[in-house]
Amino acid sequence: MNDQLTREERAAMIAGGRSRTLDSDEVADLGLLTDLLAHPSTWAETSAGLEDAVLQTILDAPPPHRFARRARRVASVGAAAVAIVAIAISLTVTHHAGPQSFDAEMRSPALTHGVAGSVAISENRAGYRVMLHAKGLPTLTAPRYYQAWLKDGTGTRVPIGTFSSCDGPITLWSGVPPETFSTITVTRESTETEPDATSEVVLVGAIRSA
Amino acid sequence: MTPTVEQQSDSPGASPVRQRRRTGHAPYCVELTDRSVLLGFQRREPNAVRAVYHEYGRLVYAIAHRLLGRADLADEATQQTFVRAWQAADRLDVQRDPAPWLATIAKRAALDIHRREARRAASPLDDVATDHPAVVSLPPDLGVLDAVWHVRRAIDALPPEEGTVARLQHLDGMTHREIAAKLGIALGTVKSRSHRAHARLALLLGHLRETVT
Repeated sequence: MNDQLTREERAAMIAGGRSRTLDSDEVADLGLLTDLLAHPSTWAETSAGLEDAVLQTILDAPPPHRFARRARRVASVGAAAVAIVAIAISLTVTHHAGPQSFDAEMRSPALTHGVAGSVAISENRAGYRVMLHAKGLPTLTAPRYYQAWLKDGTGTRVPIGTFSSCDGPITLWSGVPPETFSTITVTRESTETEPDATSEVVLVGAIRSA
Repeated sequence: MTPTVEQQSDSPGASPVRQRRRTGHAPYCVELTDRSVLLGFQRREPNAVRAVYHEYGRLVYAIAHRLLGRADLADEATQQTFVRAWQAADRLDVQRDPAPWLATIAKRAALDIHRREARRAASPLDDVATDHPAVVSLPPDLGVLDAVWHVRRAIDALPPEEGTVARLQHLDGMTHREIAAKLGIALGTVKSRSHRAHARLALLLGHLRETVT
């Protein structure tokens, strides 16, 4: 056995005397294993103090009342949205006769092939119904889901509903006017984290009057 | 031979006893954190939290480091993984091996940080018009992460003297003679430890690409 080891020699050491009898899966794994053993991440050790930091963070964390937190956040956003809608209605009632409608074409920010969508928004006394037709988005299973948002020019984002599949039309609801919150986005979320409107955007579109 | 497992109670503070058994897939012994430890983890008992961390901390860190490439970010991802795991622990089936569940959380925690760091280096989406092609960083190679988990687990299962030799050979590229000189042991001892270590690692062949999740 040579003292100086090349990659091939390291692979041969792993294979031992079976180099000529490995099946196709084992041959494929041999190259992967040889490379992984040479990668620093495979051998990386946690830093000193990380264990204590993990423990302390858990001990300091509030009890995981996940849904209560989200309900409070949605309620606070909803209260703000109600106030905005009240102002918007008072401003628009002198300008419009009858319910408004809007639409938008949506595309994938990552220009992912086959991912696109469109929305049709109609106003009623409850607010704005947003009918989303999307294609190309993979169906998500718990704890992952899609979240739709409306965003205004200042970056304020309002959630308008969640869904898990685009196999059929998706009905969403907005309490804020699309002429003010004129960007619609869909993000991919997880129940294991708080909904974050800056998380992965899978669809985006600019709303216009229909 | 499977060691006898002492009767366990679910009362807080009960000393966890680990039981070793072989899984149906990976060829090396997989140590499963037992039910009382997982129940303690759900209750935030410090000993149980530490036990789960001892069992899976380095595996989680290896995945995070592979995906993120930086120790500080890997630390953060590891910390987030265990915090999220605790936050979701009420949904954990304490009768089953938590490894797949933890691996999933670890990948997502690392991916979230990866995306955050990618956005930090680019213009915020707020500043980009909706009809402007977005700049997207290439997605990390997720397919290798399960293999990283398996290899790291196998490395951690090596006797320390064999693991040391394997690390010096593969990571540091040292020859047998250099290892013998560094460790102050006979050349033949290095070779035999190397041979044994690789014989154990070779058990991974054919199983390396099995998914953890």
